[in-house]
Amino acid sequence: MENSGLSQQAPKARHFSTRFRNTLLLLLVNLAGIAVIFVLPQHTSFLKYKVQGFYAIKAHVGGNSDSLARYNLVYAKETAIIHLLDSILKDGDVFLLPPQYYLVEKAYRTSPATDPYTWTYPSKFKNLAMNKVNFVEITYPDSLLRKATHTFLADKKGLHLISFADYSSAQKEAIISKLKTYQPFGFFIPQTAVDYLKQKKKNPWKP
Amino acid sequence: MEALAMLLHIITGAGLLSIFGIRRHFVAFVSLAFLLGTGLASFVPLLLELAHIRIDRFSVLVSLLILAMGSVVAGIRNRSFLAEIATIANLKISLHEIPFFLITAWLWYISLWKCYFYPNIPFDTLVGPELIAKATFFEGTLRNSIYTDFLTHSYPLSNQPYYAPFIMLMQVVYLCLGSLYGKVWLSGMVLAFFLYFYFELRHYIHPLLAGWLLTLLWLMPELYAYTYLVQTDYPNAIFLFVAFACLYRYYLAYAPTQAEFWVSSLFFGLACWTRTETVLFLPVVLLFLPKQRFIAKAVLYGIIPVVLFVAWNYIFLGIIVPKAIPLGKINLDFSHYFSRGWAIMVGTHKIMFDTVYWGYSFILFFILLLVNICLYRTKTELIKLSWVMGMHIIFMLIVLHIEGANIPFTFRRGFFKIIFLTLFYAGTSQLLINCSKWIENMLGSRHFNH
Repeated sequence: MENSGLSQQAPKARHFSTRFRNTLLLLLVNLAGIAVIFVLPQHTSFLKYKVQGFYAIKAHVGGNSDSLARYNLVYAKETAIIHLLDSILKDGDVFLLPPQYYLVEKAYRTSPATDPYTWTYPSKFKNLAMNKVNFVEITYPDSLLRKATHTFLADKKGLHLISFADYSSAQKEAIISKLKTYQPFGFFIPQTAVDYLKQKKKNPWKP
Repeated sequence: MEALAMLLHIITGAGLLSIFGIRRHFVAFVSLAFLLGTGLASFVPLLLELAHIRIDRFSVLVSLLILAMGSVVAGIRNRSFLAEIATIANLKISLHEIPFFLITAWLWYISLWKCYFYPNIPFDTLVGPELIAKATFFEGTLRNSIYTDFLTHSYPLSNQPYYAPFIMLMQVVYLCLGSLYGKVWLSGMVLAFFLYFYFELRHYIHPLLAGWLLTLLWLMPELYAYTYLVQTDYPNAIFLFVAFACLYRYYLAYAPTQAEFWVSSLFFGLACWTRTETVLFLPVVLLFLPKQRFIAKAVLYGIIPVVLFVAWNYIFLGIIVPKAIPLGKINLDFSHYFSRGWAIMVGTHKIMFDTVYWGYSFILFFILLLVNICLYRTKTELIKLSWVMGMHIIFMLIVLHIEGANIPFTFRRGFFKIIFLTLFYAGTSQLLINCSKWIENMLGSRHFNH
C-alpha cells in the first residue's frame, strides 16, 4: 500500500515541479519584458523626471502637514494678495479687480517669466477668495464700478493697493477709465505674456 | 472619513452588481463595484438639492449610508452569487503576475500622494467644477450664488462652470465629508480602473501580455499626470472604457445576458455625466448591438445616457439655475471644409503619434493593428477597429463644428478615451489571443479566462 501511495505521489510531485518551473520561467520572462519596456527612451525619461523627481519633492515638502502650508506651495502669491485685501477691506468695501493686461504691461517681469497674474481671471479669483473679498470686475456697468473702494495700481516696482478714499472723485473716474482701456484677461501661461510684451515693444499701440 | 466613503462606494456598487449578476475575477468585481458606487455617489448632492435638503456633512453621509444599506439588502438577497464571486478560486493570482501589482502599487502611491497633498491646479477645474463645488459646500445648495449672481455678470466667461457635473459633485461629496481638497476619490477611481483594466484584458489574453499593456498604460506621461490632476477627461475615459468592455462581453456571449448590456449602458450614462460631448459617441457604441431588434436595443441603450445628458444640460442648467452663456454652439461654416478637415486630421495625428504624451503605446497599437489586419480580418476585429476610428472621426467633427473645441486641449485630453480603446483593441485582438494560446501551449497551464 505504501509503495502504491508513493508511486501516486511521484507524478504529483513531478506535476508540481513542472508547474513551479513554468511559473518561475514566466516570472523571468515577465521581468525581462518589463525591463525592456522600462529602458525605452521615453519611459526612462518619464521615470527619471516624473517618478524620481517625486522623491526629491516629497523629501522637500512632504513634512508639511499643515493645510495652509500645503496650499501655499501652489498658491502663496494669491493667498498673500487675498490676505492683504481681507485685512484692509472693511465691511462694505469693494475691490476692483484690475485687468490682467494692465498688470502685465505695467509690472510683469519677463525673466524669469512667472505666472502672468492669472488670479485676475474673475472665476479664479472668486474661487481663491470665495466670500473673503467683495469685488467688482472692470467689465461691470459704471454704476457698480463707482462702488469700488480699492484696487491695485501697477508700476515697475510692482503692485500697490490703493484706496479710492485717498483720491478725488475725478481722479477715481480717471483711474477707472484708464483701466477700462485694457483687455480684462488673455494670458493663461507665461509664454503668451512674454510674446505679447515683445510684440508690443516692436509695434507700440497708439490710440 | 474618505476611507469610509470609499468603502461605502464599494458596498453600493457590489449590491447593484449582484442584482445584475455580473461575473468577474474578485479583484475586478470589487474595482467595478467601486467605480459604479462612485458614479452613483455623485448623484447624492443633486438628489438632496431636489429634495430641498441642505447639502452638508450629515445629509451627505446619511445619503451614502442609505445607498449602501439598499445595496446590502440587495446583496443579502443575492448572497449565493456574491459567495461565488468571493471564492478562493476566483481570487487566484499567480506568482508571475506579482510584478504588475508591484508596479501598480508603486506608481499609484506617487499619484495618490500628489492627489492628496496638493490643492487643485488645472485652470479649467479651478474656474469651473471646483468653483461650483466650493460654493455648494459653503452655501449648502447647488442653487448657489455662483450660478445665480456671479456667473451672470462675470467676464471673460467660458464653459467650465457648466461642465458635466460628475467631478464637481464628487468634490462636493468629499468636501462635505471633511476631505481637505475633496479629490482623493480620483485616486480610488484610478486604482480601480487599472486593476479592472488588467483583469478585463486577462480575461482574453495571457496575464503576461495583459500586464505589459498595463505597464504601458502606467508609463504614459500625459495620462499619468491626470491620475492626480482632477479633470473631467480621465474619469470620463474610465467610465467609457468600462462601458465598451461590458458591451464587448455582451456581444461575444454565446447567450447574451441583459446584465452586461445594462451595466454598459449605465457606465456610458456615467461617462455622459462626466463629459457632455460623450453623448455624441453613442452611434459608435451601438455598432456592437445585435441586428435583431437593433432599433429597440439602441433606444434602450441610449435611454440612461440621453436622460442624464438632458437632465443636466437642459433641466438643471437653464431651468433650475440660469445658464449665463450658450453651451455647445454649433458652427455650420462649410467654407474650405475639406482643407480644414485635412488640417484637423493632420493635427490630431500629430497628437496621436507624439511619444512625449503617450510613450510608445499608440505606435505599438498601430503596428499591432497592421499585423492584425494582415492576418485576421474578421467582423469582430473590424467592428472593434471602427470603435477607435469612429471616435476619432467624431472628434474631428466636434473640432470642426463645435465652437471652442480645439486640437491642443479638447482633442488631446479627449484622446484619453481613444488611447484606452486602442489598448482594449490590442488586448482583445486575435493576434494577442493567438500569442496567448502559444504561451499557454508552451507552458501547459491556462492562466486566463476568469
